[in-house]
Amino acid sequence: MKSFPLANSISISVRVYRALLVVYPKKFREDYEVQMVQVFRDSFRDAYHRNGMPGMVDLWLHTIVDLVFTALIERISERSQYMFSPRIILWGGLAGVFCGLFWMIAGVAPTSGASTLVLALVLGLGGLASLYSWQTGQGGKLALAGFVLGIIGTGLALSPLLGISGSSVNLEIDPVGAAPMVLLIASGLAVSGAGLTLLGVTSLRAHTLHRWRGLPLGVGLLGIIQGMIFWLFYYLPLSQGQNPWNPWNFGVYVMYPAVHVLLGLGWMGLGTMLATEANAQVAEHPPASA
Amino acid sequence: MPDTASDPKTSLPLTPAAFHIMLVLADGENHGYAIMREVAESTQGKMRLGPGSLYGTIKRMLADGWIEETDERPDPQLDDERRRYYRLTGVGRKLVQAEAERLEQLVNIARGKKLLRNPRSV
Repeated sequence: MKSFPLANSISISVRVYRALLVVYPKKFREDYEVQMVQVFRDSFRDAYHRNGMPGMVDLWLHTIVDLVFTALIERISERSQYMFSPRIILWGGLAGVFCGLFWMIAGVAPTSGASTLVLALVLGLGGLASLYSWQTGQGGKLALAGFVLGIIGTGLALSPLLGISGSSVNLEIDPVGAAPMVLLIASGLAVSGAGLTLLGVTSLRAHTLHRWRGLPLGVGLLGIIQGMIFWLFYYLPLSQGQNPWNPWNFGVYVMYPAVHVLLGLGWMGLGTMLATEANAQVAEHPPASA
Repeated sequence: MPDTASDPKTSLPLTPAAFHIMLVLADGENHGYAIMREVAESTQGKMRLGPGSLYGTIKRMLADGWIEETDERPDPQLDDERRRYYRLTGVGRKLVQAEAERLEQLVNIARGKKLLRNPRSV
């Protein structure tokens, strides 16, 4: 008679436990559900034989705590794996190519407006994500710091640009009023460049790139120089109430296009390399259907 | 993406769960529930692995190449065929040795500071 309630409570507990496993990611359940249920069943039987009802209650409490914490860990782990997936690298690499194209347009046609810069910056975020993903965690905390710095810098540079593209500020009518915004853009570009420089350093250290190993570092340094050019040749004249577009402002007519063209070429090269390498990996190891 | 093969010592220190599982597997291959019980018994119940902790850790150790699954069964007649058996790989054995040595050094430091009794006097 004693085995009947045990069989019943085992059956019910196992059913409840199996239902609770839905909190784990699908892939994890596919791989380990059968084993986890079996281990739970064995533990339950063991707890009953050793300590009866208090043993079963204790096991359930311990199992619930284990389930909540480990499900959270598996969910986070699944997200980070997605971050390092070849598809992120591929699409981010392609975004990097177009980012380069828009930087070149901004360089050779400075009158193309704030929208060109906005597009270049937004697409640059894809390139950053691609480069960070390519390192698959080998860059450690320094690479993460570079990635975060790149995002913060891009955000800083984008915020006034979105305001300018919305015509809230006119550089020619109110140069002094526009100066703080140009300073934000310059700072954002320099911070973003510093982030990319850190990613370039970690790429070099971890030997994560098969070719053109110094390219991310070069593009990052160009990003810092770009921020300095904005500060020197746009912010300084504007802060003194001068027009930066006077014919004698050497930086605006020579340095600005030159750095932007170089930056554009660098991004296009980096994006192409990341996209082609990731594409080869996707072709070699197609992802399992979800 | 680049190759991820690296020096096992860069993975130290191991998590308590990974170290205990590897200590059990140092005696030979075993299945999940047996690993769980042996860990609980060897630590007098201080280390209790739930199914999630057990298989989450096993998943990561398999991915890192520290353990591997084996098809061999000690006694197929008596054993549930759904059970999966695991054993240490060469890298895993080196790693668990390195972790044990690291902990031994710490214990020696603590002993030198008279924080632990000499094992002979116990």
